[in-house]
Amino acid sequence: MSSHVKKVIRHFKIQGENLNEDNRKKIDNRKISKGLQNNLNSIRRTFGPSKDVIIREFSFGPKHQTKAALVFIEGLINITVINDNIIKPLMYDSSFLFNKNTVDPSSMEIIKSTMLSVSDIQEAYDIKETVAGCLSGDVAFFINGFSQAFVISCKGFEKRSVEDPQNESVIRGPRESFTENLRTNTALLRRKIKSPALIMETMIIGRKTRTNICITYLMGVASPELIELIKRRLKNISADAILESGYIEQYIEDAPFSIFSTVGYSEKPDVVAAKILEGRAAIIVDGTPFVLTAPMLFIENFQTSEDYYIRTYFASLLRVLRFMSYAISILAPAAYVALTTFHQELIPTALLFTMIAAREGIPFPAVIEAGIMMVTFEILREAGLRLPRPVGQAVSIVGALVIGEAAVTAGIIGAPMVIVVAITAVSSFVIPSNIENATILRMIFLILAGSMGGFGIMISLLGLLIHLSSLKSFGSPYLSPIAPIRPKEMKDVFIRAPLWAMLKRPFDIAHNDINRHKSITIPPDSQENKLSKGGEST
Amino acid sequence: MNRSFTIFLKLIAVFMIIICLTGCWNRRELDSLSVLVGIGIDKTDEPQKVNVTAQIAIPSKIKTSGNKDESSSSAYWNIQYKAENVFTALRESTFSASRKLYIGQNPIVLFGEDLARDGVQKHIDFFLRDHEARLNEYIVIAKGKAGAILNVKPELEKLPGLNIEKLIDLHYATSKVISARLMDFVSSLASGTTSPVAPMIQVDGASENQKLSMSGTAVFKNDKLTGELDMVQTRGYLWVVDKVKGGLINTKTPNGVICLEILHSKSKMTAKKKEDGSFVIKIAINADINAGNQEEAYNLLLPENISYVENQASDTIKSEIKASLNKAWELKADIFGFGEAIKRKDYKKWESIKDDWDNIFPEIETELEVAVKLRGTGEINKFVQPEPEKREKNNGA
Repeated sequence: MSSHVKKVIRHFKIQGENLNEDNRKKIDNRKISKGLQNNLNSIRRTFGPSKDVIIREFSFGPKHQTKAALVFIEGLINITVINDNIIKPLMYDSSFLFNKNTVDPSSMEIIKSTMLSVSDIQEAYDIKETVAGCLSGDVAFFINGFSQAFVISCKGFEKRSVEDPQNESVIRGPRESFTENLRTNTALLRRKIKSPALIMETMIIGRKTRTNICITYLMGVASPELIELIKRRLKNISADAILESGYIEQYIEDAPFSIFSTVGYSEKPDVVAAKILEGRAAIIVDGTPFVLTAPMLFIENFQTSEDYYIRTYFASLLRVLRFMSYAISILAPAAYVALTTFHQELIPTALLFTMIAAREGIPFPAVIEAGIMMVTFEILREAGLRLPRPVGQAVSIVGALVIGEAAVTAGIIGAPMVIVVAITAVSSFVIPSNIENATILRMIFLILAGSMGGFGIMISLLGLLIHLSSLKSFGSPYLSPIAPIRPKEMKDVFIRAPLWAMLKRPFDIAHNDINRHKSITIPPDSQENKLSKGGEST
Repeated sequence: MNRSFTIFLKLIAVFMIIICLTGCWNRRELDSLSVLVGIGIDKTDEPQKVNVTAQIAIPSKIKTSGNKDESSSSAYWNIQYKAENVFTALRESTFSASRKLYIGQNPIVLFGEDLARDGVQKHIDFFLRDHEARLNEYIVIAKGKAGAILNVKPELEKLPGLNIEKLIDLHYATSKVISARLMDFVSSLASGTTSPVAPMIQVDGASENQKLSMSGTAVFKNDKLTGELDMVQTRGYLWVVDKVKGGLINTKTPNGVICLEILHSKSKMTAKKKEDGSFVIKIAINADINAGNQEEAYNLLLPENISYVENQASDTIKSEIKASLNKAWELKADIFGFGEAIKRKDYKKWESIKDDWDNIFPEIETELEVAVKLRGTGEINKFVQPEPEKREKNNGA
């Protein structure tokens, strides 16, 4: 069934591609001619009636005989750079260039090397290149009589500064987060990992959006097959638009029909740096602060950056807590329904009486009751999320009152159910990256528990386990290091061992270069003890 | 029809088959249950019928936080039905109860004395066969009518059924009451030679001041009630079967009576074969005790006094055991499981004598070994009394 869907999708893909190919040919395949006006005309034709495309014509050289033009898009460039570093030197100091009226081919090179005081200048030979340059914030510089143009980089569009992370807040740890600007993001990573082995390969994906994408990895640590695989998948993307890293994620993920995400993301440079250092590759997409990391293991959902910044005991406790809350968030309503409708004998007598008393007069069966509450909660969550912040608060107050108080007093919902759904909701927020799959799993579990009781829960848990162990993310088993079991890596699963004890990188990711530490490090205090003892004896 | 689709179909088929494997499926909402907290079974005038009293909890009245005037009315409803057997009676209660009875939480099954004398096996069968009923229900024998016991409103608890359960749960405090769960009772029944036992309960006092109290142990011969052990004999029985978990022993010392608390005890019953082929049952008991109450000063810090108290205590234990042995011999009921011990010791011999066990049992020899250790004297080690001259001495020291 799924492959049929794929076929249909492929069919549409190919059709779309053909249409666009034809259009592009008409505009782009023109070489830059020697006549300035010819070039400008083809630029004008390409951009059509767009008013933000500025064509600044001017002349320079002796007697101002040499005509030239700058083409750029307003808002994308830094206007001071154009004024001070391109137009000004040409207009004031260029008289010596052209001694005669002849056009010297070498003068192009002289202009580039002595007059334009900007750092990045590329030469372009066809219109297509100059247009692409303009669109990404460069300035195209045409000179009459030359069959080449300069594409001068002076990007200067509005961008957000580096701010606190919105979704991954920490108590301890760096407070910077990625921005929408690709270069800022790569710089943030460079500042974390000051090694020439940190490779940043760029690609342009999206036939219309022409989004810049940067594949970042640590040469020698990330396995070459992984990088090859990621590049191959990225190259296969033929979509016209990449607006967010989510687009990329959906095009390259291993299991598009699974409810589990096999590509990780983060908005914090330290998180991404840590993942790169473990041998993963990061994909930075221009225009979004969310950086993808691959491969992604299931266990990564339960690891936070703070686990490694705080001391090991509390970090381990938090780890266990997170596993527990994930279990609660997917199982609590199902377990409650299974217990109250199928396995009443498992409830302690006193609790059973309380629960019966609370359910007295409730018109719906427990499973429907749970369903109503869960849907209401999801609605409230979504409403609180999408609405402007002041209104969002009002929604949560109304929701809390309606659900918490009124529904119970009116006898529509039992009080225990409110407690169960509330604990479920709160638990699900403990692991934000798992909210998506937990919500879906909760619904499936509830339906199975409502129809088959504890047996249904067992079936769905087994199904979940089978599904999870069948998943792979870029060649790494999704459940690693639990399945296949890697006893040595258990140091970073249910507990977080001290950093000096985690000597190896995850095997299923960095099988290339597994050692984190240069030599086996023992806890620093025991080293010092040895030293001080030696000192005493001498 | 491609491959993944057929796999998908196969998976669905597998799940459907799995669903069928579970057997019973029963979905009931909480508010459709009427939770049983006690079942009383009594004999009726009609020979083939039993009178079943089912005690149903009313959860909304159990919660105290609600209206105060409601709490005065009882939180249970005793519904009585006369029918051919327990199952029928419970099922036919739906003639007047709006919710189907739920037996899964039932803590106790009470048998009336008269009914127990006629045999309880045919009534127990339902509790074993029913999928909802549990094997850890307590079996209790009512002195008089079981229905009457369930009607006595307890002071501390809201539900008589749970009250009786808690009374039995507390058997460890005195070790003069036994607890018999359905599975214990049935496994004794199944052994053939071991006699089942169950605690007995009675109503004390007149109509207004009625209260329940545990009273001794009912002894069954096969499934029929034949006699009962009093409190002392019950303790003796518990010593032998290693079920004493606590309780008090009062013994005499040269200076008044001392009350000793049993901290811990361990007993071992083994069968030994004598040269002439007959068996001796050896009962070895180790008990740790603690001084709980002294009437007069008797110095428990002196080694000779300690061993004196220990000997006194072990004599008391021995006498309790002997009392229970004598009673069991008199009833010809092997409540201790001596037969099982012999069976474990010498199976072949046991096979030859087991048919005659009723006659052999009263004749059987026993060997008692009781070792008591006084482990402590409580929070104080001396009797507190005014002793002026001693006080002066102590101040000087």
